[in-house]
Amino acid sequence: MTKPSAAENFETVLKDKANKAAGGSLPPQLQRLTDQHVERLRSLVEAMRVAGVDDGLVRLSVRDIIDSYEAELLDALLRLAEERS
Amino acid sequence: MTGIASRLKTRDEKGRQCALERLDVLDTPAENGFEKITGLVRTIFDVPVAAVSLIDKDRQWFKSIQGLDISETAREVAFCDHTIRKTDCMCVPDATKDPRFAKNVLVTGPPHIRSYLGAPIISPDGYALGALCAIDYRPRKFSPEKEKVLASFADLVMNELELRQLASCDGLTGLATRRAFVDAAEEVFEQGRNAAFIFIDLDHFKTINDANGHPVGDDVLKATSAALLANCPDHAFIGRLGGEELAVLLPDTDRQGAFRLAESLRAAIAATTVKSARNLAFTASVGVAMQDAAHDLAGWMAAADAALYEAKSRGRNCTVIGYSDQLSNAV
Repeated sequence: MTKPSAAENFETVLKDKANKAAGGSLPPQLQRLTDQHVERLRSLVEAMRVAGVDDGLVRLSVRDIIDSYEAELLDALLRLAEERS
Repeated sequence: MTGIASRLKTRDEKGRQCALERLDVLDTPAENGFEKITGLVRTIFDVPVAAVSLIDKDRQWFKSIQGLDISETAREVAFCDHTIRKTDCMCVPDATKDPRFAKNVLVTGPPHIRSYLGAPIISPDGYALGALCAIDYRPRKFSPEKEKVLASFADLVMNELELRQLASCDGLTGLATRRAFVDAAEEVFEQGRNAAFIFIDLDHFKTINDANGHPVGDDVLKATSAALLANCPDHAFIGRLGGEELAVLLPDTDRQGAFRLAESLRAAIAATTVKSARNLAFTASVGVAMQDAAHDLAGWMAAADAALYEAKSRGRNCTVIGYSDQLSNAV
């Protein structure tokens, strides 16, 4: 069985990372943004493939964007938690 | 590009500027998410320069720029100012042959821009706040497929902007959090903008919660924030400072203007009802302090708090404006 590429399983990866960062489930407003982020990332991957962007570059892009989103999501969660405490 | 493009408000410059200011992103330090995107655009498009440009009133300011050592330019020379007037990408294959840009100082002089591709960054409410762009020093064409790639990156830039804004918003009311509000108040105070601090506290909120339950209390807060949003001018800044305490910053006003707005907010809240509790009505007390009442932000907030305390003392559901040591004008 072929291992799925980063570009193919990004939705699972991003949602897993988001939920892990949230310690279970995301607040609704962050969930909406994360869903939107996944959808827009999917559109980007599709657009890059149609434009003939090298698959390695597509993978690099997805990995970079997912990694940076995870960090920013964690920042947002910490700030929201700080406001509530 | 998303369906948002079809709702683009290209003729409402004032609303566009307000939408940009609400993001509270101008003149903030570089952030990794934006740097990653401009870095990827540079690589994928094989261009020397990529930028996230936000179009402010008189300038374009770069939230991220790679390949050029500048942070802003005048708006009148900004290619991206043309991009925000479009619903899709703007492509300039050779600026020296384009009548819009041939005499532009960024083309005739350093950095000698020759080709440009920009995708508008569109907010959820339909304002083009800026553009994500790829710039080259040689003439070149960008394919329609590459335009779609840039547009998709621009959508991700908007997501980044929304995410950073979300951390500054109160989850229940959508108003600015205490931290974001205090940051804004500090900025306004330092700018010396003849501002008013309007402090609003819901009357008997604990009783409302105890008698009707916390979900109704939440509905009261949501209805109050809706009343504030509907009655404040665009340039006002509204926040929830905690519990049932809300506040409005009103820059560029005088005592009469501040009192008039504060009183209209009090009246709007008193006219609001909550359907989830059999049209429950409620009121608020309001304290106002002008910026010149204090030497620092803490003193300004204390002056507004003192006015609010006086409003409570006078029987609630009223507005008091005063200085730190001198109160007047109760309703």
